[in-house]
Amino acid sequence: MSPAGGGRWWRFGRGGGEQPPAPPHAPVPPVPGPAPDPSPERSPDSSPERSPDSSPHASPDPEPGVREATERAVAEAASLLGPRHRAPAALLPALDALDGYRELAVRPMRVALVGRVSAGKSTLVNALLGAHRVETGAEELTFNVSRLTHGAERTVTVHYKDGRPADRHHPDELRALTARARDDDRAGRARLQAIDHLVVTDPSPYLRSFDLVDTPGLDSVLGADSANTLRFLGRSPDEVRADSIGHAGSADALVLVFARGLAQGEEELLADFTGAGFGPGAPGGPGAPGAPGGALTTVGALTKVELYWPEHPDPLAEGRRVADRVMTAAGGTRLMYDLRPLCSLVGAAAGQLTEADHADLADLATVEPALLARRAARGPYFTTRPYPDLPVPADRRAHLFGLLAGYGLTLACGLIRDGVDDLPTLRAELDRRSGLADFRRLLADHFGARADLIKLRRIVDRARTLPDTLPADLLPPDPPSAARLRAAVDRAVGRFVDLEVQQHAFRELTVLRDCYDGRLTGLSDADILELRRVIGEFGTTTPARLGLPPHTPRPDQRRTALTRLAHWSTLTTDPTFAGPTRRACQVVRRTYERLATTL
Amino acid sequence: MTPGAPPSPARALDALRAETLALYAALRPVTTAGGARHALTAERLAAAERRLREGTLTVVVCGEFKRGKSSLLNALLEEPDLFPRDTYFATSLVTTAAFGPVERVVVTLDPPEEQPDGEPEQLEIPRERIAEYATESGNPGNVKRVRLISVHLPNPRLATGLVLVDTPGVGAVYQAHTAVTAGFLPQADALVFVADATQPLTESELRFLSRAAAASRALDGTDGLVFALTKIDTVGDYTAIHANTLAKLAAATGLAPQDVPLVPVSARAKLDFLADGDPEDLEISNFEEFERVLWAALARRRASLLVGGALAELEASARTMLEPVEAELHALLDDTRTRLAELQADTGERERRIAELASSQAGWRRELVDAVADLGRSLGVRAQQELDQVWHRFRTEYLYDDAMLAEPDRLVGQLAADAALVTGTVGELAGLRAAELQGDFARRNGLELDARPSSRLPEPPVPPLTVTGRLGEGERQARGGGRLRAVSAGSGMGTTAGGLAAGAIGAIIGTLVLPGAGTAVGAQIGSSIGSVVGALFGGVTGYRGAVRDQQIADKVARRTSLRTELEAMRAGQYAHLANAVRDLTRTLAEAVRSELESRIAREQASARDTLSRLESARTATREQATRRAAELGLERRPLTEVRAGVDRLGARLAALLEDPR
Repeated sequence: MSPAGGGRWWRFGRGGGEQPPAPPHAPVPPVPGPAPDPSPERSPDSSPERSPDSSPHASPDPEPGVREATERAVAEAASLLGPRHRAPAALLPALDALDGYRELAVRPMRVALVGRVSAGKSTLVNALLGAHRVETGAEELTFNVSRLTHGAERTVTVHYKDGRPADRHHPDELRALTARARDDDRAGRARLQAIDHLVVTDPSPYLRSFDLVDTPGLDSVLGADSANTLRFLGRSPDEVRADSIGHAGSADALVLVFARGLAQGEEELLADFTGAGFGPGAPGGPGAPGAPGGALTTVGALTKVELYWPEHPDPLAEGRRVADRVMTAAGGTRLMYDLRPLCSLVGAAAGQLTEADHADLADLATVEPALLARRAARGPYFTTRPYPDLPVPADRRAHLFGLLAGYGLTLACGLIRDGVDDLPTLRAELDRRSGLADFRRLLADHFGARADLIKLRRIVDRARTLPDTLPADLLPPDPPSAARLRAAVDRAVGRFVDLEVQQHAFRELTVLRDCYDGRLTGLSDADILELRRVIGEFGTTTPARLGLPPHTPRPDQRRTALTRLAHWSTLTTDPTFAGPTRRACQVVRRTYERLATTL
Repeated sequence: MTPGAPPSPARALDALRAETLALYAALRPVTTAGGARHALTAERLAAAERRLREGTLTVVVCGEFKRGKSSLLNALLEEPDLFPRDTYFATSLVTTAAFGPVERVVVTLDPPEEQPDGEPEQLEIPRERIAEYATESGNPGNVKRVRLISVHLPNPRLATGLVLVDTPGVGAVYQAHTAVTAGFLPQADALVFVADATQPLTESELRFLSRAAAASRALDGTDGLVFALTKIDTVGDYTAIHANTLAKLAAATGLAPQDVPLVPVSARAKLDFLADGDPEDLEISNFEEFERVLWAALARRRASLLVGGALAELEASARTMLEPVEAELHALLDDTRTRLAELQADTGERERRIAELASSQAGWRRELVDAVADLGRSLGVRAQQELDQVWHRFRTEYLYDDAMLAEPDRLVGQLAADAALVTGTVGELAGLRAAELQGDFARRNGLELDARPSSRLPEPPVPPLTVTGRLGEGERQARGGGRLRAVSAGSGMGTTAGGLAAGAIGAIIGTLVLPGAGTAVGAQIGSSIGSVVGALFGGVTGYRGAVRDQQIADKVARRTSLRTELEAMRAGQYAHLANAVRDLTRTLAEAVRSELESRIAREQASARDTLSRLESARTATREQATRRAAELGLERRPLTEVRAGVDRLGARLAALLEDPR
């Protein structure tokens, strides 16, 4: 397992033959285990180190004053453009945009999952939540965008394209709706066709830190089954693709979902995303300013790696090899912070196993391991043939195989043989061994801890595009009144530019972005690692940012901060550094200064 | 093979080929004894025997990365550790496996970048070191400039001339590799397309397949397509993915779903079976079925042509050698001498007619020129129509594909790959049509190889002979020197397209055509199609730069711009293809003329032999005649036996064709 929160080492010391740097000491936020509802017990790997101030459950204010300053900038920009009822028509789009920023500032952070139709996005959502929450089977629904948000109870609210009032359902009713529609129920069918998106509320603690947006897919051509469903819904693959891109583009952060080997080579996998505009700087695409994308706001998941078994005895290791290649050879580092291999089917199953399943697995665990592995490695026979040497009948075996796949099944039996004898422990252990537990932690660290800041930063980025909202015929040559309007918008943008310069937290984010985009040339690997750590990439508590154990006495913390401050002050004066590197050194120096002052 | 099962097509074909070769061996003492009289026949027989012996059945294995192609090849060859399967294959690599008396692995390296015109380097390595060249870990980014790894094995599964070609892939990213595959594909005897039970087929795979199927239809039907659904052992139930894949394949190939030969297999289980011998592994691997389907396709496609052509040549040689013997025998046994006079008159008449055909003024020569001109024209029109379709797709499909629009590199690469496939197809079509032309002329002038109307074999291909009657020279000339001038693509050659030098693309296709392909097209296609495809790609690189620089956000404007930018590429493709068709037609015309001249020369030799034998029969005493008749009986026996053998084998081949199972 790679260390919690630690990016993989390939970014640094590539080709230098160096060992990965020691894992940064990161406080681990509480991880909601896949424990069965309604008992939200923590999984056993929840670290005792977790500290209350890094809890993702409430979006912590990352920097006192950033939120207020940003909201103030939005308000000032709006007043510069004048009250809405008196504003000229040309400024209305800009005012709308500002309204949008206001809403963005208060709504929860949104993390969108994007990938091809069958990449396993919905399975991953379920695995993340540790329960079956979004439809993986009813195709009519998976062709709509679903947003999962935290709520006291489970509900599904259907939003319609035609503006009719949204209806709220119990999740189980929805399945009935699609089933009826298929049976030629006209009203049901019309309703399905009119759906714009679904909002699912769920009490899963995991959703407290951010919303998850499940998108249908980036494909422009679909298989026969899916195409039929789309025809039934009166939509085209291109619409679905555009819908996915659109919703992902309005999210704050992305999870790129790669299904193992879904395409030739990793380059093509990445091309899926750059082709859809998630690459750096694609014109007009979601990669435009203010849209999510780039290593700062994107992580990747390589799903279904358990299917590398039995070809590869350790599928997660094979998955990690593939992931490393995507990141290094194929240039994934430009797109993603990290790419994690996941046994997503096993992870999803971990949230759904019942006592009956457990009993069957326990029976299978009595079979000689080599024989069981050999039988499970012939999937189609394992699920259908009567084997006198297997104590579980074929139909039950088929059920288990469908849930866990061959790898998960032998893994579960192995765990039981090794003494895991109750269902909650088995589920938690499967969750851990599937890579899901680590992945949750990665999301919590990388997005959750900084959700507010990332969102606010998006407002600043998007504000830079305000002049684009002016009608094209206002551009030069234009009459003086038009020039006045443009000046007003420019002044409004100026408020945000000031904010970017004045707010240290925003400057830190800029440095991180430069770091992931490879613009910080000249710094040593150790410096880069330290830079990321002090900006909070491996934990936002002061000791974590200083690379110290959690309960280090304050004087020691202060001493470390001052030592590092001296180091970075020296770097700042290095005459060979210019541009982004120099700016980064200045920002890091300032960060240490601020840390030292608080201690 | 399971004992007691009916002989597989592979076995049947193997046996046919061995027995045909035995007939060639039986004729050799006859031609040797005949000396100068049978020199031309000996030359033709030797060439035909070599074509049969060296003749290959090329199977191209296509499929996306990580679909288990290496495992499939290893399982098919029953060589568990031949191709490294546990790691990444370098993506720009072509691998071939063919028969050889001793194991040899040869790596072909491109010349270093500083000397782009240098000779490729060849390196012999033990099989354990394949991974150092073929895999991403041993050869990251193909720094070793590996172009081709060819493996020769004393493997009985390859003994029939099976050549497995593992192409670099058909995806959308490495367009250069897709172009290699596409340009080479039309010459292949079968295409094994690998799908995977754990993941659906991708858009780019299906696009490639629909083009490949269209090309097959243009040639001689789609029955050379075989599909494997691998990794069925990994899933509990593959019925859904099987049905899904079948539907997609049917849509892409235009075949009815029940006619799509999609065989579910597990290469891993087959390899496990080889290691442990558990019969359940063999059962689930389903490789017996897979091999049966593959060999049935091969037998249908090319085996008939290969063995059929060899049998026809045997028959014609035996006949032309037998005719003088039988004529002499008839004359000797005829006391009245009336039969002798008849025979002399008939043969004299035949000799005169053949002399007319041999004359440089003969009518067939002019007709052939006209027919070839017609063929050239119709091929030109065909090539143009196919290219029209490519550019129609560009306007109506590619320009509206968001992914392609966002990355015009992909679009341009797709266009080049499409054009490569058109080029390869038109080349192969030229060979087929030329063979028909040759058959037609031979029939009309009484020169066909196999005169019996019962024969249902396809026309033998146009051999790569420029036969002049002088032994040996012609063939060498055609093999070594019959290259088309490389169609120049301006300065584009030598630049890098998608990590592969444009010149290298042509070179790879050229290298893939193995000696002994045995037809004029085979000899040509390596150099001509290869250079044309290379040129098409070379031309591309210039446009890519221009296209990449565009920062046009508006899709409509982007489309318009691409249309304008690529206009020159379009015009270039038409010009290249027209040149290629012209050159290929000229070479084929030359080969057809040479072949017909060679057959005329053989008929002429046979008639002259008959006349001289009849003359000696006329002057023979009774005593001499009796002794001579006994001698002739001995001379005749091997010839009649060979003809009987040809009849027998011909019937078996026809049966194999009719029921490939």
